[in-house]
Amino acid sequence: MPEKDYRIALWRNTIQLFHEYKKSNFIGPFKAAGFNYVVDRPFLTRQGESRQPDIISSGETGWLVLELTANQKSKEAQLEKYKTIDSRYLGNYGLYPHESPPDIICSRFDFVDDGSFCQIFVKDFFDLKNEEQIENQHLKTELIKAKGMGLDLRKLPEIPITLLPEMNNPQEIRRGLIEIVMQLFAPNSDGKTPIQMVDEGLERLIDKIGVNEKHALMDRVKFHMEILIDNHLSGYLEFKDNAYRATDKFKQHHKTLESVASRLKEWAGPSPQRTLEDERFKR
Amino acid sequence: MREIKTLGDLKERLQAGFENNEESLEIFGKTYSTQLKAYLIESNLPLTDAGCPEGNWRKLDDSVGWYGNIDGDLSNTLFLDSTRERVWIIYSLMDATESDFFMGKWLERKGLDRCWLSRNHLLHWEKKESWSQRGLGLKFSDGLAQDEENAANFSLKAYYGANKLIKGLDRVLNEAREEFAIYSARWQKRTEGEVVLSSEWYSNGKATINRALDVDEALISVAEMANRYADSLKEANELREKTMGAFELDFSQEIDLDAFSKKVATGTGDMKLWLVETESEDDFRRFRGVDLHTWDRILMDVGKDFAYITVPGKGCINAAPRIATLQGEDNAGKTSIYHDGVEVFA
Repeated sequence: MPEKDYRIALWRNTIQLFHEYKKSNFIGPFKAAGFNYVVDRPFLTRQGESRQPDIISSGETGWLVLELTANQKSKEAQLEKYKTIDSRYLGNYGLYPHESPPDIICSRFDFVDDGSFCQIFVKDFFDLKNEEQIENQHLKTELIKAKGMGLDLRKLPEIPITLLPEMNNPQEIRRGLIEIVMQLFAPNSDGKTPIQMVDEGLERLIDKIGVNEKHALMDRVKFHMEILIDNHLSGYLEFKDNAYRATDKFKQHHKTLESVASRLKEWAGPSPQRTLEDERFKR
Repeated sequence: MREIKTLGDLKERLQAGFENNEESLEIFGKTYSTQLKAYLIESNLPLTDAGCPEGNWRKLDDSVGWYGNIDGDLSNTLFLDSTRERVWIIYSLMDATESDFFMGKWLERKGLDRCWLSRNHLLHWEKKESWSQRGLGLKFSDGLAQDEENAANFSLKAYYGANKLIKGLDRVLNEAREEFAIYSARWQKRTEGEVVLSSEWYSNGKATINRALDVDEALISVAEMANRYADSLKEANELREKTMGAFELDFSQEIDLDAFSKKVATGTGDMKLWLVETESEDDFRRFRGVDLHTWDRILMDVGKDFAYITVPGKGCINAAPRIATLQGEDNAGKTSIYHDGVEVFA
C-alpha cells in the first residue's frame, strides 16, 4: 500500500470530524456538538488586524478556531493571535454568532509542543491533549467521547482539495494531480497550463496561498509533470505552448485508458528507488 | 398532421392522442396512437449551445420557454419545456425506438445529462391520495463479473394485478425490491373509480404516459417530477459548496473490490468511470479519476457495501445520482444516497 498522503490526510481527517457517515457509524465530534464550519475565510480582530485561520466553526454552544499543521515547530505564538478574533464576523459566514472568545485547537498528526493549547491528533485514530483548555463543556464532552472510543479515521472520504501549499512529498503531489492529468485526455480538451493545474488542485483554498508560495508549488508540479511525460506517458502527453495536452497519438480505447491509468498509478505510487531529481524536491 | 406552432396546438394534439387511445382501448382493448414520452434532462448549457436532438428548435408562439422541433426529417415530434433553468423536459411523439435513439445521441453532448431518478423519486406517488402502483421493474446486471457466462444477472418486470392471481408474488416482490435497484415504476391515478392517468417512470429520467384523460394533468405530473429533481440538485449543490463532506452511497449487495478496480481502470462498463486506484486495503479502496459522461474530476472511496463520492471544483453534482443509479443496477443492488447521514435525492 502506498504511504499515506501526509498533509492531505491531515486535512481530510480533520474536516471529516465535522461530518457523519451512516454505513461506518462515523459521527465526528464537531458534528456531534452541532458545529458548522468555514474554511480559510478572512476575519478581523477588534483592532482591525487581519486573521485567517484554517477553519472557523460555530454551533449553538460556542465557537472554535482550528489550525491544521504538519509543521514540526510549535504553533503556540500563532494560536495565541487567534484569541483576539472578533466574534461579530461569524454572522458574515452564516455561522452562529457569539460574544464569548473562541476555543482554540491545533490539529496535528503527531505531538509537537504547542504550549497549553488543546491539540487533536488525527493520524489513524482520534486522540486529544490539553482538553481542559476547552471552555465549551458540550464540545469538550464530545471530544473526550471520541477519544474514549478511539474514533477510527482510517477510512474517511477524500475532500475536494488535492494540492496544498506546503506539499513537498513527491508522491503526495503526484497523487494530487492524477485526475487533473486524466482530464487532459478528454476529447477536444484545450489542455491545461501549470498554473491551471495548481488552481484546480487547491480548489477552495485557491485564495489561501500567496503568489510566491503558488509559484513554488507550480514549480514542483512542473517538475513532476516533466517526469510523467518523459518517463511514464511519453508519446501520450506533451507540454506545448505552456500547456499540457494529449498528443495526437492518444486515441480513446479501453486498452489505452487502462495503460494510461496503470502508468499514472506507477508514477504516483511509491517508487522503490527515488531518483536524485526526486530528492531535489523532497524535504 | 397540422403544424404545431403554439403551446395550445401542442395540448390539442396531445389531447386528441389521449382520446383516440381511450376510444380504441374501449373498442379494441388496446391503444393505437403513439404514447407520449417525456425525458427529464439535466442541462448545464444555454439552449443555443445545447441544440436539438432532431432538426432545430422553434419557439412555440403563445408560451415562454417552450419550443418545437422543425427543419428535420421528423419535424413536429419533439417539444421542449425549458422553463426550469437546470432541468428541462422533452416530450416526444416519435415511436419509442426512434425517440430513444435521437435522445441518446443528443445526450452525448458535453454539458447535458439525464436526470437519474432515485428509488424515492420513482416511488414518489406511493403515499399520494388517488395514486396506486401498478408495476415495478428491478434490475441487477452483475457488471463486475469476469465473463458473461458466470454473470449473476437478474431482471424482473411485474405488472400488478398478477399478484392477485399468483400466490406469494407479493412477498417475492417486496423482498426483491429491498435487494435490487428499481429501474421502473408504473403508476395509476383513479378518480371516482375511473383511470385518469397511467404512467411508467424509468430510473434514467424517462416517462411514458400510457393513458390520460386530461392533457394538463398529464403534463403537470411530469413537471412535478422535474421540480422535485431540480430541488434535489439545488440542495446537493448547496451542500457541495458549503461543506467538504462526501456523498455516501449505501448498497444492499456487497461488491467485489478487485473486479471494481479492474473495471474502472479501463473506463468500460455502464458506470463509465475511469479511475486510478491510489490506496488499497482488503475491504477499502481509494480512487481518483474522471466521470466519462462529463470528464469531470471525481474522487471515490469504495468499501464492500458503500462508496463515498467527492466532486471537486465545478464538477457537475448530477454525478452522484447517476453513479448511484448505474452502480445500483450494474452491481450494487438497492442504493441510497446520503449526506451527513440524511438521505438526499429523495
